[in-house]
Amino acid sequence: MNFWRVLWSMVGKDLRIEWRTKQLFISSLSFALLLVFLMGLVLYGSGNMTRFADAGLLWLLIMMAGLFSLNRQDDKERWDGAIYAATLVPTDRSVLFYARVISHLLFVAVMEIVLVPLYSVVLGTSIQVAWGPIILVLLMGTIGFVAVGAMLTSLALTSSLREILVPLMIFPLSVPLLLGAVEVTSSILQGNWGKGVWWAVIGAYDVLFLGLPGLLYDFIAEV
Amino acid sequence: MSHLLELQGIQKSLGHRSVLNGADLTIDAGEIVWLVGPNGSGKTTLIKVAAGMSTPGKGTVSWFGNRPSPRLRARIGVLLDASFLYGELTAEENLFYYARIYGLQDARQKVQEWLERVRLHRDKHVLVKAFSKGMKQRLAIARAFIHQPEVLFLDEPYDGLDVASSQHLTAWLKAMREAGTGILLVSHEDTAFRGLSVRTLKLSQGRLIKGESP
Repeated sequence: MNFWRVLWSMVGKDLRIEWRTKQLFISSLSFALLLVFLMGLVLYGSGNMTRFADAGLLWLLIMMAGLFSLNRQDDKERWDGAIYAATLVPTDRSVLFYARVISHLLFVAVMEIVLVPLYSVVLGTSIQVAWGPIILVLLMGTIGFVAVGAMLTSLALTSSLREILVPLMIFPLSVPLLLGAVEVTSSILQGNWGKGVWWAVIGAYDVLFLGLPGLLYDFIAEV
Repeated sequence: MSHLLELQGIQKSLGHRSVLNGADLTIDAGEIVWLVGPNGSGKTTLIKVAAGMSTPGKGTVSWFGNRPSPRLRARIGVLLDASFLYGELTAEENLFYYARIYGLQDARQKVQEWLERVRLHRDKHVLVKAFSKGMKQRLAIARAFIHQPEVLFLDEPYDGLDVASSQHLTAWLKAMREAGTGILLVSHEDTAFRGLSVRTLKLSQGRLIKGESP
C-alpha cells in the first residue's frame, strides 16, 4: 500500500514539474525534430532505402532523444539533494527506480506520438499501414530502453562523469534490444509481425531490466 | 526497554580514509545528544549512517530495538545540509509531497500548520528556487518535522536562520524532547540551544567520547 502511494506521489511530482517547466519535453523534442529534419535532408531522394534502414533510423532517433531526456531528467532531483530523500522513503527504495521508469516512459511516449508520424512523412515511410503492431513494438522497446536507462542513471547519479558514463554504458547494453526492435519494426513495415524470437528478446529485456534493478536498488541507492 | 537509537562499533571509510572507527551511541526517549567535533571529523557521516542513508563498513545500527527497515523509516526525520526540496515546486507543494510520501491522513491540514509555524504561509505559492537560504532552511525543517518523527537527525539545523527562527526551532526541539522524541544534533551554534539540556559527545579519531556541555 505504502509502495503504491509513494510511487504515484513521485510520478505525480515529476509530471507536475515537467508540466510547469516543460524543459525536458521541449529540449528533447527539439533535439529529436532536428535529427528528423537532418535525416530528411541527407537522405532526400534516396528512394531505395530499405525497410530495415527505415526501422534502424527510427529506433536510433528514439534512443537518442530518450537518452537526451534521461540525462536531463535527473537535474531536478539533484537540486539541493532531493535525490537523497529517496533513501528515507518509508517503503522499498526500488520505488524510486519504478517512478523514474514510469515518468520517463510517459515523456518518451508523448515524444513518440509526435516523432513517429513526422518521421513517416519526412522520410516517406509508410508506417500508416500497420499502426497496431508498430504501437506494440514501440511500447515494448521503449519500456526496455527506459528501464535500462533508469538503472544506469541511478548508478551514475552521484558521478560527475554521468553525462558521459550513461551514453557509454546504455548503447552497448541496449544492443540486443535495439536489434530486436529494428528487426521487428522492419518486418512490420513489410506487412508481417516478424520472427517470434525477436519479440522474445524485447520481452526478455523488459522483464529483466524491470525486475533486476527492483531487487538491487537498496544497494544502488546508498549515499 | 530498548533505545530509540543504538549504534555499536560503527566503522566507516570514505575512499581510503577511515572516518568512523568503532563509534558507539545510544539515544533514549526525550534525550538530545549534541555531537561536536572539528570539521571533517565525521559528524555528517555518522548522522547518515545512523539515519540509514549510508551503510557502515562494520558495526550495527538499530532503531527502536530493531534493524532499520522501510516501515521504521516513517518514524525518523532527517535534516542535512541539503534541503531535499524541489526548486520547481512551491513551498506548499514540497511539503504536501512529503506529507503524501509519509502517508499523513490529514496531509493538507498538517501542511498549512507547518507553513504557518515556519512563517512561510504567505510565500506558500512561491517556487522554492526563489527562496533565500533562511527560507529554504525553514521549509526544510518543516519537511523533516511534518510527520512527527520519534527520532530526529539534525545536521546544522540553525544554519541560515535569523534570530526569531532560531528561537522557534529551539522551542520546537524542547517541545519534541518533552514529547519523547530522541534527537541527534550537530551544530556549531551552541548559543542557540543553550537553554536545552543536552548530552554532549565529541567525535574524536572516529570514536565518540564524552564532551563538555554548552
